[in-house]
Amino acid sequence: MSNMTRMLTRSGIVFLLLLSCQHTSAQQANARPTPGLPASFLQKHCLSCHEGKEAALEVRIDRLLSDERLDAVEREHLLERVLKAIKDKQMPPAESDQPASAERTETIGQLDAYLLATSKPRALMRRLTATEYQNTIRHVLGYNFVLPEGFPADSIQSQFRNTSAEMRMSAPLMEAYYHTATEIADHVFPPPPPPVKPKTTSVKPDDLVISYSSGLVLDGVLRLAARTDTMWRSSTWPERFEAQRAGTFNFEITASAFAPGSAAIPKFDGPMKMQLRARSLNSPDGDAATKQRLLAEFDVTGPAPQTFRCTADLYENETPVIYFANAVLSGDSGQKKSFADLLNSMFRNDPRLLAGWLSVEHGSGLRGGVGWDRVRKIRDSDELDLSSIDMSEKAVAALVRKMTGNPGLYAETVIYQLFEEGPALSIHELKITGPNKSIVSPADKQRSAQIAKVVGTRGELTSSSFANAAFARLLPKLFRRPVSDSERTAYVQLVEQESTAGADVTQGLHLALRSALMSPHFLYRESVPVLDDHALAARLSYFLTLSPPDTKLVSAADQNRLLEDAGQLRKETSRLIASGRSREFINDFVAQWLQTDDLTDISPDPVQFPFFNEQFGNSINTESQLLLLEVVRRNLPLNTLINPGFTFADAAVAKHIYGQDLGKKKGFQRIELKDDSPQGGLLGLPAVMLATSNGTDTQPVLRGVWVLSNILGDPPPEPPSAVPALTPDTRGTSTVRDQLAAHRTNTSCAACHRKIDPAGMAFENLDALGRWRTHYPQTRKGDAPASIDASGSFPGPLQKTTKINDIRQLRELVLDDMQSFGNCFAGKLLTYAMGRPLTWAERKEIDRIVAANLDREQGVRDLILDLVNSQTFRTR
Amino acid sequence: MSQLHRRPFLKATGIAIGLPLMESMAAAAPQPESAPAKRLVCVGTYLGFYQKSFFPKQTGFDYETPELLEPLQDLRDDFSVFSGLDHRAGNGHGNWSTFLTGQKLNQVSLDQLVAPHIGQSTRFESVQISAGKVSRPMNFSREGVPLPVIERPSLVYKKLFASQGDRARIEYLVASGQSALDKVRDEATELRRRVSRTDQQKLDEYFASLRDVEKRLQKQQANAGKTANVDYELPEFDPLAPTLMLECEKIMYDLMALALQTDSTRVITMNIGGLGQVFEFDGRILRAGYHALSHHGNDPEKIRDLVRVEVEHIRCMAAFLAQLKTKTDASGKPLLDSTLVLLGTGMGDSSRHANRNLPTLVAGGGLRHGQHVAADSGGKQKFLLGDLYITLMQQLGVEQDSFSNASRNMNEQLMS
Repeated sequence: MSNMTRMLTRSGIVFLLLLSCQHTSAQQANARPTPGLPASFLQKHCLSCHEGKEAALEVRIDRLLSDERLDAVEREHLLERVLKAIKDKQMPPAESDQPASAERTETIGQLDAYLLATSKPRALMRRLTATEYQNTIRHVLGYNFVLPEGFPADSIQSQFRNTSAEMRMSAPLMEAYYHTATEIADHVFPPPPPPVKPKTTSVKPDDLVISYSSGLVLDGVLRLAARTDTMWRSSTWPERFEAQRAGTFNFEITASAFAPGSAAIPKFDGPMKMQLRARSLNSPDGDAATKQRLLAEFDVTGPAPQTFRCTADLYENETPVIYFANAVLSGDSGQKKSFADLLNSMFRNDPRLLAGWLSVEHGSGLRGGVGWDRVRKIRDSDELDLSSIDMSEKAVAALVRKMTGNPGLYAETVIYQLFEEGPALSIHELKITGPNKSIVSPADKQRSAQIAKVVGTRGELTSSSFANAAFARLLPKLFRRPVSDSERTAYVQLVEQESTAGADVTQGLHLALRSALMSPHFLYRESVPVLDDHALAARLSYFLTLSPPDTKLVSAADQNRLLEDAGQLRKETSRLIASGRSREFINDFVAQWLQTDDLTDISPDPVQFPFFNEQFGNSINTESQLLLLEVVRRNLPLNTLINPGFTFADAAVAKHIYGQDLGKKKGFQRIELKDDSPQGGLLGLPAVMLATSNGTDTQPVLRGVWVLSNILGDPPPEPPSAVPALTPDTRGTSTVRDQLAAHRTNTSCAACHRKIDPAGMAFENLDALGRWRTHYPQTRKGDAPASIDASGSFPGPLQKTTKINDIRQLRELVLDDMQSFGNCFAGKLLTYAMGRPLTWAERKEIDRIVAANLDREQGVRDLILDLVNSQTFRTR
Repeated sequence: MSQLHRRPFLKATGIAIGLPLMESMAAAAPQPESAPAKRLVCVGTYLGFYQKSFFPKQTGFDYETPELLEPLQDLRDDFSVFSGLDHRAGNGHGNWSTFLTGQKLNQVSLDQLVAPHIGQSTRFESVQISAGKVSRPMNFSREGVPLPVIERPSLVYKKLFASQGDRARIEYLVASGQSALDKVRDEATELRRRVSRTDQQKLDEYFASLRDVEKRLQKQQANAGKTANVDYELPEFDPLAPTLMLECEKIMYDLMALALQTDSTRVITMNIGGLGQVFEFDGRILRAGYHALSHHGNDPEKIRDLVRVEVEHIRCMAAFLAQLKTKTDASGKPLLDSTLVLLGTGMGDSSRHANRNLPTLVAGGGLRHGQHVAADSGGKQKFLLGDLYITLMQQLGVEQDSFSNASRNMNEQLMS
C-alpha cells in the first residue's frame, strides 16, 4: 500500500469515499453529482397503480420518489425491479398508454445512472463460517480437528451461508468459541492427565448387545453361533461400557463350549476359538469383526464354565467385542460356499431336518426364531412321513441354492437351531476392570506428532524462546498475514505472565493459544480497509478451497504479486481449481446454489421409490457436484450445464433414474444421454427434483421459483404476506394444474405466477426424483392414473411468450438466452465468493465478463478466472 | 416438504446490525418474589404427536383421556392440554424451529426471553439439552442465533455437577480465561480504530458477545465451590445409539429434575429428535424408523407404531412430572407447584408437514389445570400459541404483554 493510500485510509469515512470513486471510475471520468431519478416518467406512467397502501404488487413508486426513510437496500431492489420491468416492456401494461421509444430509452439510462451512482458495495469484515473455522484449524495445526457437537450452526436466511451481514457474533457463539479454543489448546499444549481411577464393570448375558440374530440368551448364557464378518450379525459387546479415556484394562470372560451333538451336527472339532477384539463405538456396528483390533484369543472346550483372563489396551470410545472365530455358520453373502457346505452336511446327516426345510412354507416371515420353530415342529412331528417328500438330489440342490441365495434370511433362521442344539459358544459373564494405567492412543500420538511439526518442540529451548518460536510459527497462520514483532511479543508476554503467576509454562502456552483463537484477527477476515495481497489471498483461498491460503499462495502474497499481477493471480487460481481441495468448494457451492442441502429432511415415498435409501440420497447429490466439477475442470462451455448430453451416476441411480445398466462398473460413471433426452443438465437433476418436491408429489410452484431464481436470474418477489403456500393434495380430485389455474385468476397472484407456473409445470413429467413419467401416480386403487400435461406459455421479455410443451422446450428457452443464465450463474459465484450481495455496478461488470466469455466461446473455468480477476473480486 | 426458502434471493439484503444488541445489554428486571412460578422447562418433539390420539374429544374438565395422555392419568389435575394453538407460521420442517419463537424463524425463543429475568441467581442462566440428534434448533438467543445443545448426558452432568477433579481444572480455566478475554478485547479495540464505520458496528457485536461471556465466567467464578453434590449414578455409557434415544430421554429428564432440585438452573429446554431411529418395544422391533413412521399416510399399522413411540415420550414426561411432585424446593413445597413445564412441538401433522394445530401441554407452575382448552372453540376467541406463552411469562413474573404475533393471553382460562 502506498503512503498516500495509508494516509487517506486513516479515517474510515475517507476510505468509503475512496471506494465509491474507485468503483464508479470506470463509468464516470469525473465525479458528478448524483443523477436524479426519472421522476416525471415514474409519475406519469407508474404512480396511478403503484401508490400508497393499495399499490399493485406492493410496489410503492411513491416511496421511491419521496420517502427518505426507505432502506437503501430496499430502494435498490425496487429500482432494479422497476428498471427491468420498463426495459422488458412488461410495464407500463399493454392496456395503458405506452411511452415513446426514446422516452423509454432515456428513462432506462437515467435509472441505470442512478443505480450506478448510488449502489455501494456493502463490504464487511467476514466472520469465519463453521466449516471455514474447522478447516482453518485443520490446516494450521495439521490434525483432523472436528468441531465439537453442538457448535452453533450459522443461521443464515440468505442463499449462501457465508453472507457477511448475517454472520452475526453472539454470546452463545462466543461461548462456543471460548470452549472450543480450550479444547484445541488441550490438544496442542495438553495439561497433565488426571489420575486414573480403575473401576470394575460386570456384564451379564442380558447386558450384552444382540442385533438381528447375532446371539440368543438361553439358559442364562448368551450363545454365539456364527462367524459372519459383520459385527451386528455375529458378535456381541457390552451394552453399557465405553472406555472414557485410553488405558489398560483387565478382562475376565467366563465361557463354555456348547456342543452336545445333534443329528445334524454330531460333533464340533477342536476347541472353540473365542476372540476378544476392541471396537470404537464411533464406528458403524456393521463393520467387519475381523477388522477390529484383536486383543486376545482363547480356546474354549467342554461344557463347564471356565474363566479366561487377559490385560489389554482400550482407547477412548472403545469397547470389547466377543467373536466366535471358528463357528460353523457364516452368513456372509460373499461366502456362499461355506454356508452351502454346512447345509449339505446337515441335510445329509439328518433327513428329518431336510424334510422340515423342504416342507415348511418359505417367505420373509420365515426369518429368525419364528422360522426355526416352524421347521423344528415339522422335524419333530410324529406324523412326519419322509417317503411323501421329494428328497431327490435335485430338490436338495434347489433348496440349498435358495437358502444360500438369501443368507440374510436363512442364516438368521438356521442359527436358531445352533443356539438351541449347538455348536455354540456360551458367554456366562464378562468383567472389565480399569483403566489401570493411562496410555496414549495411536491416534493421539499421531496428532501430537502433527502438532509438533507446526509448533515445534521444546527441546533445549528456554520456555520463553520456545514460546517465541511457537507463536512466530502459529500467529501468521492463524491470522493469515504477517504478524509484527510487537504483536507476537504480546503473546509471549502472556505466556510468561501466566507462567510466573504459579502456573507452569504449558499453562501459559495454553492460555496464549486460547487467546489467539478468540482474537478478532483469527475469527474475522477481510478486516482491512483496503484489500491487500494477504486479504486477497485469503479471499481466493476460502472461495475455492474453504480453507486458509497454502504456502504457495502465502508466498505469492508475501511478494505482493497478487493484486498487481493478473497473470500471477490467474496462475494461483488455476492451481487451486486443479487441486483436489477445490472439490470442497464445488460441493459447498452446488448445495447452496441449487438449494439441495436439506435433502435428508425429505423422505421419498417408499411406494413410488422403494429403492430410495440414504446412499441413494447421497448419490444424487454427488451427481450434481460431479456435473459442475466436470464442467469446471474440463473448462466446458456454459451451455454444457444446461444441456450436457451426459451425467454421472452410480449403478443404482443409473438404473432407477436413467434406466441404464452399468454392468460390473463400480462407483460413479459418466453415462451418455440421448440428444433429445428430457433428462440431464441442471434442469432435471434428481437432487433438485427431490428438493422441489415433498418426497411424494412434485411442487410446480417451487420448481418455477427455483428456475427463475437460480437459472434465469429473475427471482420473483416475496409473495404477499397473506397468501398461504399451495400444498398439493392428491387425495382430492383437483390436479395441481387446476389449483394453479384457480390461483392465477387473482390478479395480484397472476403478476408473478404467469411466469412461475409455466416454468414449474414444464417439469411435471419429471417425478420427485427426476424420473420421466407420462402419468401421475394412481391416487386410489381402481382409478385410472391421470395423464400429465406439462405445457404452458412462458412470458419472455418484450411481452413475447414462448410455448412450452415440456422440459425440453424450457431447456431450449434457457439455451437461447445464455447471457441470462451466465449472468445468474456468475452472479451466484461472485456473491458466494464475496460473502455479500453485489451492487449494480458489480453486476454490470459480470454482464461484460459473461458476454466476453460467450463471445470468445470460452469455458466455465475461464469464466471463474475472469471473475477472480475482476475489479469486483480484487476490491474489498 | 422441501426446505427451499420461498424467496431466498430477496432476503440477501444489507447490513442488519444495531438495535437488538443494545437491548441484550440492558439489565433484565429480576423476577419478583411474588411470582407464582419460578422455573420454566420446555420440551419439544421434532415430529410432534399424532393429533387424533393426543387431543381429547371433549373440552373442559371432564374430557375423556385420549390414548396418548393415558400415562399422565395419575397427574390429570397437574396439567392442561391445548388444541387449536399455533403461530400461524409457514409449513414444513424448517418452520419447526418457530416452536418457541412465534411466527418467525430466528427470533428470540421463549426460554431465552425469560432466562435473564428468572435465571439471575443460579449458576447457569439456562441449559439446553437434547435427546437424540437435533434436527432443527429450538432455542435462539436475542440476536436470533441458535444456541448450542448438549447431546451427551455425561456432558450435562459434567457441566452441572462436575467431579472434584474436574472442578479444579474448570475453575483454573475460568480464572485464567479472564486474561484471554482481556487480551482479545485489547486487540479488538485496536482493530476498531482502523476499520470502517460499518465494520466498527460489526465489531460491536464482538464486544457485546465478549462482555456476555465475561459476565457468565464471572458468575461461575463467584459460584466456584458451590457446585451441588448429587447422588446420581450416571451410566458409564452415553446412550447415543439411535436405538437408545428413548433411554437417553429418560436420563436427561432425571438430570433435569436434579438440576432444578439443586437450583443449578431455572430454565431448561430439551429438544427431542426424530430421525430414522428404529425402536423395539416389548420384544417387537418396529417395522420402520421413527421419521418414516411419522409419514404414515394414514396407514393404520404405521399409525399404531408411531403412537407407540409417542406414548413413550409421554411416559418419560409423566415420570419427570412425578419426580417434580416428590422433590421439593427450599420451602419444602413440591417443585412442580412452582415449575412450569411446557411440552409441545413446531410440527402439527408430520405426515403432511403441516404446522397448524400444534399439540401442546402445560403442567405445574400454579396454573389451574385438569382441562382441555380448545383454542378455536369459542368462535372469535381464536387464541395463538403465543397467547399461551404470554400467560406463562406472566406466571413467571415477567411482565410481557406480547409475544411475536400474539398480544392477548390465556389468563382467564388458566389463572384462578
